[in-house]
This record gives sequence, structure tokens and C-alpha cells, in this order.
Amino acid sequence: MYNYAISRTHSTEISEDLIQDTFLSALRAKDSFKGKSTEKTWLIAILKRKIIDYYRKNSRNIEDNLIDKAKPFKDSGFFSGHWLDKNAPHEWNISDDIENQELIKIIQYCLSLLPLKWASCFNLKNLEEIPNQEICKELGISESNLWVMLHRARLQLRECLEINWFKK
Amino acid sequence: MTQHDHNHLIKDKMPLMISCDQTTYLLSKNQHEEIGFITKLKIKMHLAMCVYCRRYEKQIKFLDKIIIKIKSAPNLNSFQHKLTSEQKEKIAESIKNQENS
Repeated sequence: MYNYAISRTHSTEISEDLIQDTFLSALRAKDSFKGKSTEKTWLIAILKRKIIDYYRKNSRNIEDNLIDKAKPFKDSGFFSGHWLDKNAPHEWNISDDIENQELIKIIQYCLSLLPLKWASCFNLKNLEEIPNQEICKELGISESNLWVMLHRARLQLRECLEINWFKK
Repeated sequence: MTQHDHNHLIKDKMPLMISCDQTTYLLSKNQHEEIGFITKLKIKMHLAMCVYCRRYEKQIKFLDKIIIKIKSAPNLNSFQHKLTSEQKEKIAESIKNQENS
């Protein structure tokens, strides 16, 4: 469970809190556990719920003031919307890196650097596979905003990976 | 992030020639849902002209593969974290406290 929480929140502290919450809820609701699934599955299901709650709470607390802070595109002139020279993608030498544990660590690191709201969107969509509608409801955003944030999150992840992995 | 800043991404009608910003946005969206034939054609046209966005497309596919791997295997070596007995104590303690209150 601890590993699961870390793989979703990218933080040991938050994971500890979430585990604690999960056990508490589980204790309170232990009568509703009918033994249809294993205890582990049941606990993980509660934990998942806690993770969504965690993202929702944060999306309320932190107002988004990152107005295009990390936008890698030109925003005016004839070439508006084109890659900025310093941010344009370089050629990557992709080999069988996908099995590489170090690479996965770097990605984890990059995920942890995402602005919280983008990370919420990205994790709920790509890791928890929650439907769009539900994400929008939980985070209080419109669907087009969700797409934009997913897009920005990917742009930043790509750049982070390029800087920390492929440029070495 | 205000709605206004991204209007160029989400308005229904994009011009025939789309920018890198729009292309990369649509590539992300395409990963999750159907975006329509004409839009795909616009992406193809842009990719044919733009080496950076071609790289971006390739790299983002690679990135998504790794994300899928992270999703499906939370027990990868790099996540082998164990709660120390101290941490476990702490959790057990606060659970007891809250149960009693």
C-alpha cells in the first residue's frame, strides 16, 4: 500500500498520511467489508479514494497563478505559437531505456516537480484512469481546462526528461 | 491560468495551418480521445513541415509508454520503500488516538 501511494503521489510524507487515513476509514467501515474481495484489494480501493480526495483538497487550497510560466512557445509575432529556440525538442537517443530503473526514477522526480494542479490532472487521468467528467467535478475545472493542463503537464515532463536524462 | 490565455487552443475552428503549440496540444488530446479526420490531417500537415514537432510526437509516445509502466507496476524496484517501524508506530498511535476520541 505504501508503495502504491508513493507511485501515485510521489511523496513519502503524503503517502504516510494517506495510509493512516486509509486504516482509520477501514476500521470505521469494517462492518461493510463482506469478504468478497481480499483485504488488500479492499484497502487499496479505500486508498484510491483517499488519493482522489487528496488531489481535490489541494486543488481547492492552491489557486493557480502560474500563467503560462512554463510555456515553451513564442507568444507574439509572426512565429507566435512556434517552439522557442531554447525549448525546442532535441533529438533523443532512445534505446532500450524503458526497462531502466534510473530512468523511471527521473520520471518520478519530474512528476514531483509538476505544479500541483497539473499533477492532479495528469495523475488522475493517466495513473488512476478516472473519467474526464469526474476529474472535472472533483477538481472544479472545465473540460477544456483539463485538456490544456494535461497538455502543459506533458510539455513540462518532456522538457524535464530531456534536461535530466538525454542531455547527459 | 485563465481561460483567455488558451482560447487559441480550444476554439472549434483552427486555421488550416496550425502552430506548434496547437499541434502538441492536439497530439496530447488525441492520446485520450477521437479528434476527427480533418484535425488529424492538419496535424499531419504540420508534422510534415516541422522537425521539432515530429521529435515531440516520438518523445511523447516514449514518455507515455513509461507512464503506463509506472501505472501497471507500483512495485517496481524504484518504489521499494518500506515503512520503518518508527513510522508504523506513529501511524498506529494516531489511529488509536482518533479511535478513542
